[in-house]
Amino acid sequence: MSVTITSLGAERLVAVHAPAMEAVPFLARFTTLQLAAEEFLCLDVAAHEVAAVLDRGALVVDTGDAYAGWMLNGPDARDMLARACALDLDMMAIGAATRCLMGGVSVVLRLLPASRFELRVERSYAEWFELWLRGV
Amino acid sequence: MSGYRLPNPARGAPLRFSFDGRPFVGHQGETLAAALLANGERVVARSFKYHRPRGIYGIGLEEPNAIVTIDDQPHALATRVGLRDGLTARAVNAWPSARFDLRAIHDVFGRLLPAGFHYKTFMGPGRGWNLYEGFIRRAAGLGRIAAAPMQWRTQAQHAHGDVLVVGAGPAGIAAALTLARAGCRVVIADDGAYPGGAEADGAGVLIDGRDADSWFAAATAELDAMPFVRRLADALVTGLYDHGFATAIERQPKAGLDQRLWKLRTRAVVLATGAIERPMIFVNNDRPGVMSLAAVRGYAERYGVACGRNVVVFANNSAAYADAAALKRLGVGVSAIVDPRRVIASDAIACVSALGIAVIAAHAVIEIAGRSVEGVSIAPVENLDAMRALDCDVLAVSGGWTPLVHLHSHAGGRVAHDPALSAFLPVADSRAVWSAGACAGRLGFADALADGARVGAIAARALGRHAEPLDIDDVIVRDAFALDLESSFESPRREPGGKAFVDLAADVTAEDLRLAAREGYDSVELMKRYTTAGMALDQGRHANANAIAVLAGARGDTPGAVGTTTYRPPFAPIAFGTIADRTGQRLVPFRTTTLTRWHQEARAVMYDVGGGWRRPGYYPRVGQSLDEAVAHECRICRAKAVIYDSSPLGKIEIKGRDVVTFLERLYTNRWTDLAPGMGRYGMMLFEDGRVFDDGVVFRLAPDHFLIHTTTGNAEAALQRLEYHRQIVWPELDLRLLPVTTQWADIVLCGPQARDILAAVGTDLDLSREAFPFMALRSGKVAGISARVMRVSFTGELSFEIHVAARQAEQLWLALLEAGRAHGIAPLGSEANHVLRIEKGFISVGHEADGVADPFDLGMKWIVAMDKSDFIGKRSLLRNQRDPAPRPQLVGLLAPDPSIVLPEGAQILDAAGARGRGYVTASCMSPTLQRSIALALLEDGRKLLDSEVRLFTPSGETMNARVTRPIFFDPKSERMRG
Repeated sequence: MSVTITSLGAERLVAVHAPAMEAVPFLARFTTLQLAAEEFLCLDVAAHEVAAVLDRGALVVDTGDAYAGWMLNGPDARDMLARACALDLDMMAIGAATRCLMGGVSVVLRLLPASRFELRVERSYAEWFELWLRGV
Repeated sequence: MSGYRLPNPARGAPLRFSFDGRPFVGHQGETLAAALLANGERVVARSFKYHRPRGIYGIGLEEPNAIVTIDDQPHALATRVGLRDGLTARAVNAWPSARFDLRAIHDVFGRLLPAGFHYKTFMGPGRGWNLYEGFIRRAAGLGRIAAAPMQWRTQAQHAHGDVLVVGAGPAGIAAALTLARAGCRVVIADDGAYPGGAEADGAGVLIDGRDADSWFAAATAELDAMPFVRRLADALVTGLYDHGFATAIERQPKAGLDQRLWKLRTRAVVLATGAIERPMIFVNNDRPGVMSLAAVRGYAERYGVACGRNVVVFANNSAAYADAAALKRLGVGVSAIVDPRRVIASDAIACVSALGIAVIAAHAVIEIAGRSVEGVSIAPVENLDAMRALDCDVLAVSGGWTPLVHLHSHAGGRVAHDPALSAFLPVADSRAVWSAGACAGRLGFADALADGARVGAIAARALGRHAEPLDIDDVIVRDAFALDLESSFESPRREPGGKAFVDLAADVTAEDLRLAAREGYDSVELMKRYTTAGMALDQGRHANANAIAVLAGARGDTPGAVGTTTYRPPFAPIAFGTIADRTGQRLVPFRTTTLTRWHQEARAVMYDVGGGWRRPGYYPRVGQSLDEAVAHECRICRAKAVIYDSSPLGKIEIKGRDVVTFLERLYTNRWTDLAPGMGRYGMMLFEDGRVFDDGVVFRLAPDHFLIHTTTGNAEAALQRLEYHRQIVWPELDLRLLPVTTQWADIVLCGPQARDILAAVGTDLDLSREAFPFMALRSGKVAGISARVMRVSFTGELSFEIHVAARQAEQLWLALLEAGRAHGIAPLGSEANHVLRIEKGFISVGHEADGVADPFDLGMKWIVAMDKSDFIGKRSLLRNQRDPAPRPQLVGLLAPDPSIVLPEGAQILDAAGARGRGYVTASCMSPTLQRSIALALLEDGRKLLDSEVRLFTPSGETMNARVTRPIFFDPKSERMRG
């Protein structure tokens, strides 16, 4: 099977909980994944930068240490994910992200161009998840 | 010998295999059943209950007899096992072999084993049951599971689409083509290796001038060329569930895999699952040599195997005449058709007569003498005295067709009886599930093809697509006779006795069903359970229609009034190994902290604890036992200082204008008066007043809190908060985020903790005045940004230090280095348990055991009953008014201080007859140098200083003295210092 699994390493991540109508226009300046109706994950940015553009009522938390991530790349990456999770990947837009279950664990999945995929799990699951992923 | 190979130069390469220890030769592309028939093997199995000799009956999933063990895999159907070189097969339920089975003696005592015998026998004497059970267990069942683990390679895979088409016969392919051409994403699955279904097995069908094989090949190529069509061959759809979810088992999907489990999700489903042929009911209709007519034709057409040299057909419908004619044209000797109908379509008669097949109308096969078919006894239906013998070596039976409506029923579809077909057909409803072709009662090839196209168009329209008509002008089927079925037929008997089987797989006879009705088990559900009809491996596929008809006759009712049982997944047996998906590393998820590697390198004994976390239990030095290591860690904590990894504790940040209101409703505590920078130990209850969770809550800012939960309840607590935020009180302005894994949590505790913290370097004022108990301060520790909290679970002076998780090891090592001169040591969960017992601190899961409320635990100080309301308040009031004794937290001391009371030991009442409490936590206390325990005891606070009697899990009894539930530093001066 031709799939490359590469660790994303240390990242700058910021979790935001705020009403979508208030947050989305301002978070658009960052690379932002919407994970739930009012929950967002901003990539490659510091918490104070995000807090500066949002209303004081938003909850902005540095989560750079809370996640571990991997990039899946290769012609068989999509097939591998079809074994790992129940999402209809054909219906996902490029750049879209969502939460899904893989192996019973919550994973943030993001689809990138050229059938590349980013997977992020809670860092406490990192050791197990990499074992599991390489065995799929 | 009976079966033989027809002349066929296109046979595959020869393969060697064995059956019941005897060698045979087959060919590539054959099934085990086809190869056994070709080798003239008649007896391949023994029946379930009577151990009667049985032969191959069918050609596919409908096979009720030929269950075999293949290498180490039991319960395979010989009709579905592809032959391979070196294959080893054994009959199940027979010893030493199918040909000669010692347990055939069961048939001698068959009269003692009618339906329901197991409800009436082995009842007395009762003490003999130990003997009966062993005998019954050895006699019951079929195959044996291998002692060694099977080498079973499986995989699970998800697939999605707009429509799932089940079946690749004429209806299925027509539906799939229609849908795919309309632009739908189609998944089509069929149990066979090649599309076409039963009808495409040979000559006789022309579609726009092309033979069926060519047409199917072209259709399949068109589907395979479409990128949004997924075609699964050798894939049996085993279940249809709600919301368009279905499962399919693909056999031998690729090299290195035995099976693949497909999890299919589509918006709509088209079922083209076909129909199977029904048996005829007459005495000894289970003898080797009695076969399904469709199977006899199929073996000849697909495998070039003639099942016998002189075939007689016994059928009650005209469609069977086409099969008989086809068989004859293939070179198989068919001498006669015995038909109980008096009026038979003239074209059907003319067709077979032209081929030299005699038609014996108004006659029935009455019985088969002998242990296999060497001739049959037939008689006019209305004159059994005129019975005569008819020579044959195979009796091919056709009692009509039973549409396979199982998948339709799985997801809640209803069925209704059609008297013309004598079968149950699916009833259309509002679900996006349609049936087409034979499974919907359209039995002919042309009808099925047209129906598939029609249903495909309906499904496409329902999905918002426009479907063009399928471009087929002309379908010619040679010998297409109308069914003209005479409803489920049971041959009359010349004399009582003899076994006429309805369910071959479960060894259930027609008389068994009538007996069940006489004994009052006359509903279809009771009939099934009382007789076990329909409960064998084939789930009654070949038998249910006839069983319902027999029961209807016994009741004087119609089959429609009797109805069917409920068909549930799976449609066919699935190996647990297939569901388990063993090719991947199917580990149970475990969780680690950023310090786990350090713990492992320090040779900590690691435990898998709540929430999936791996935590250090204790750190034994060389030669130390568990008790010695725990005692050492406890002494260090009480005398010097320890550090432990508390990172798995749940942590949730919550913020908003209404956050205080929210917390006041969720917790028993008051929060309005908590100052920013301070924390409070809080408790959440269930609605019924029981303790749900506890933990310290800190106020970071007027509208911003940090909640701690227990490790095991972290996820549940988060869900509880989200549920109340989103569903119960959506009007409240607040937001929350889990931060459990963002922060590592290192606890430094002991009398020298403050000195060590100062030594490691911090910009915080650590004095008692500036940093009181329950305060939170933010600053630098060892040069790392940190939040430091003064909380304690051990009863010692403690500083809980939160740093970003990736910096945890840096801080941990710095603390160990700074504390070296002070004798610092790491602390595991075992010692933590001892220390908190000494302090009388409760633990969720021990003292908070799912029964006790905070008052039971002596914690009325945590409950602000003057709040207008909070979750559980009403139940606490009710508990207080209830006069029944409540379990109350107490301490226990064993008379012998060296004896540790077992956790879980029951505390007995005065009579020693009833438990009135139990030991929740117990240990040897290094601090007190004696054993101590905590317990929940009814009215325990009234029993202080009295003696109680305990009954231990090992069956011993012992005494203990009731005492207060705090053994060390009762005023908590050490942790507040």
